[in-house]
Amino acid sequence: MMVRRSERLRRAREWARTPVGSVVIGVGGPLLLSVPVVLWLNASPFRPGFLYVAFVAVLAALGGLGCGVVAAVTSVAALWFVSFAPKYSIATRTADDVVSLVLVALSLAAVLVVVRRLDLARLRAARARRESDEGERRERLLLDVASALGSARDRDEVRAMLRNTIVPAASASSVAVLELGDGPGTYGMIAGYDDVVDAGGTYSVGERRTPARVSATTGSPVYLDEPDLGREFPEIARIATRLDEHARAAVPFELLGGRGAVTFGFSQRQAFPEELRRFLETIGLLVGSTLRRIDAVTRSEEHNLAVAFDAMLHGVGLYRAVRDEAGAVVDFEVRHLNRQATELRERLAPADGLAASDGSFPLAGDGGLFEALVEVVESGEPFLRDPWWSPVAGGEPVPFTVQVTKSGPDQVLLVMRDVHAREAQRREREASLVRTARDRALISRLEDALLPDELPALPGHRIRGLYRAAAHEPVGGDWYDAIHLPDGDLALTVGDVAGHGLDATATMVFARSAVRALLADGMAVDEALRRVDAIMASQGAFVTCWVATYSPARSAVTIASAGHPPALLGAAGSVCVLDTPVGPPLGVDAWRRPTATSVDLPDGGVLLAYTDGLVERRTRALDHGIARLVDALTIELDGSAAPDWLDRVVARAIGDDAVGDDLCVLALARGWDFRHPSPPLLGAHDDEGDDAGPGDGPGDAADQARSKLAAIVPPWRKRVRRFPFTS
Amino acid sequence: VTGRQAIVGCLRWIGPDGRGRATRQEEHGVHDGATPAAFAVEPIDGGIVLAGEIDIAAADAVRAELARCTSAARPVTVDLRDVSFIDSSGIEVLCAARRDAERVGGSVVLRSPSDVVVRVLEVTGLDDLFPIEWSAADGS
Repeated sequence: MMVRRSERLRRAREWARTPVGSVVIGVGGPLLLSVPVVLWLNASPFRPGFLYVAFVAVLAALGGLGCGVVAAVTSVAALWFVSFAPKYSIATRTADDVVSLVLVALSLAAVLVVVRRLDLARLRAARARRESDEGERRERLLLDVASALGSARDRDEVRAMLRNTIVPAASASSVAVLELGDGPGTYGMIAGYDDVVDAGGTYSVGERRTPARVSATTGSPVYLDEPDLGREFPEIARIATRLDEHARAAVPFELLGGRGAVTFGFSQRQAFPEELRRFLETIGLLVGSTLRRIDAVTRSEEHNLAVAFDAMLHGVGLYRAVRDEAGAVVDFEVRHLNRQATELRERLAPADGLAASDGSFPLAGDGGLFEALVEVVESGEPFLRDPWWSPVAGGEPVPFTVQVTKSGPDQVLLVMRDVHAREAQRREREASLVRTARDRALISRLEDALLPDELPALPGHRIRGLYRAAAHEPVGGDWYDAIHLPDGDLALTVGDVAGHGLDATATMVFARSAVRALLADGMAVDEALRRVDAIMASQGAFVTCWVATYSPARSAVTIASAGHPPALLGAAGSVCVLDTPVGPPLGVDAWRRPTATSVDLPDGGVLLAYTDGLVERRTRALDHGIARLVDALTIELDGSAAPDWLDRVVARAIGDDAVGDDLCVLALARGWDFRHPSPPLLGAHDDEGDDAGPGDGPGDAADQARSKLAAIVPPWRKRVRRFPFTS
Repeated sequence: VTGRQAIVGCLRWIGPDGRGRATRQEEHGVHDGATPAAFAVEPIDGGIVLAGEIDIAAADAVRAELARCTSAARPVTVDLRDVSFIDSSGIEVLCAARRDAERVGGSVVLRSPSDVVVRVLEVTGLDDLFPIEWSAADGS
């Protein structure tokens, strides 16, 4: 209430100082005072005079100089009227009285004038001082504000500056900045309207006419004290009343591609003195230039980014998060898409359930991209998915590498790389691995099927077979076979089909089955080969084949060969080549036929048949390979008859040579017991080889073996190629 | 019969004197890829001259060359003087050529086979299948 009373007094004094107020009070006051003066007529002429003087002084003090002068004139006129009007018999007054009255009046007026002058000077000085202080403060403030705004990087900092510094300096209670761009305009950087502002710090009023909009549109400042506001903006005035706001000012500024205005609200009525106006307008200009600079920098940054993005081979998208009233990210606005991203967007299916501002995201599928973007915006942690399968309209999903990073407040950068080619390669590689594995499995099964499941067992004998495929060819044309015959004999076969690959394998299967069937039927080896040859000749095949039957009862081996390399016979520490007669290979339409030959397999001896892969070398003569095999077998004859005995023979025969062909070896050992470290030597006369012990001297045994071999070999002595025995 | 990898091989022209002149190089499908196969097939009047390694890699080329000669009822001469290696694939080609030639009343004659060839023919029991012709120069 005190405030309001003093306010009324202040307003009354201000009114009294106006010309009208001065005249009204100056004239009315003394006239009213004339009533008691008339009543006191004749009592004392000085008393009413003093009374008037005192009254004039009061009026002058209260109402100002003008009021005082008017009152003084009126008082003198009233005194003159009262004192000298004939009606009131003033004639009785002495001239002294009149003179003294006038002198008193004049002197009092003079005193009044002097006092008033002094008072005015003092008041003026004080006011000037006050105003100059205020101005200085605002000037300093303006400098501070200008410098602070100059370094402001975003609108938040501008808002902080407005709220913390400018609003108090302007004695304002609230501030807001209206920016008019392409849209209806939004209020931002708001302070003092906490209850109407949304969470994002902005407030949209649509197309409503407000002082700020008028100012921004016209480019002129708008100053509205309470009555003006009510008259020109009744709607705003009602809101203002509710907010206890009694004056409003709006100062315009320019934006890049738009206009704007800073609007100030005042909780007291404002006369908006010139100085305040200049201050506010300057603030408006500063805010405008700051916002322009911020926008220009942002645009330039975005432009630079866009240029950089466009130069990239990956698809790059720059998005800005759009938040709802609760501050949750509800959408992403596309700020920039480079050419690749645009192409991707056109290629890819529309996003499922994803409503980006411009209608589509470049990536969809798998789902969760939106959530990923939100996660990146909120946490700042980058996101990477590789590969990300995205559906294509009417096609197979396309794989991408997707990378999302936060590039600014509420801004994310999405980098997409089409890894279609890489994924295709990877898939091809995997498929090829699967294929290879399948092929391997198939080949392995085929090999299992082609080779004998289990070599037959014969008491006192050991049969070993070995097949080794060529490095580059999983299945070849070589085979070995061993079966029991109905009469208790054993049939042994080693064959080789010329050529490689599945054709050779097929021919091999045929030849092997044919030979096996004929031998199992009890046919003699040479006759069996002749039959098979007759069949194969019509097929244009070329197969070498070595066939033998072994009679345990007679220890005799009957051999027939169709173009096959000679078998070896080792015994008593020496090895010889069984250069038995050789017929032409099967399938060659030759007139000569294979013939059968019998040799004795001594106790402790071993018969070794093989295919040319073991002995044939590109750079050496065939005999050289055979000689090496002879040496290898000779050495291993003296070694231990371990389970890998045959492997060791082969390894020794091959040495470091590169073998381009597949090979197989079949060995029949008599009287060998692989459980013993070394084979019994020839000369143990027991027919049951298992029981033979190493009782006889090796030298003696070797001599016997040689003599025995010599006895075996003579019929084809001229064809036998001997190799030096290694002892 | 497949050559798994294509590797550059050397095709030499063999002159009438049997000496090779390195006059051109061509690409061939070759054997296992371990080493480039070196062989030569040179058509001559009434036959061909073979040189180098006659194996599975050379088989197709030799077969094709021989097929041109064995279509007529006349002896086809195969010069094997400079063959350094021959395996069952090479022998098979010769046997097939002989069969084809005999069907039309012709024959295949081997001229001056090298020791390597003789030994392989011997081992495979084919040493009396082909008529062999020794040229005078062989004796020296």
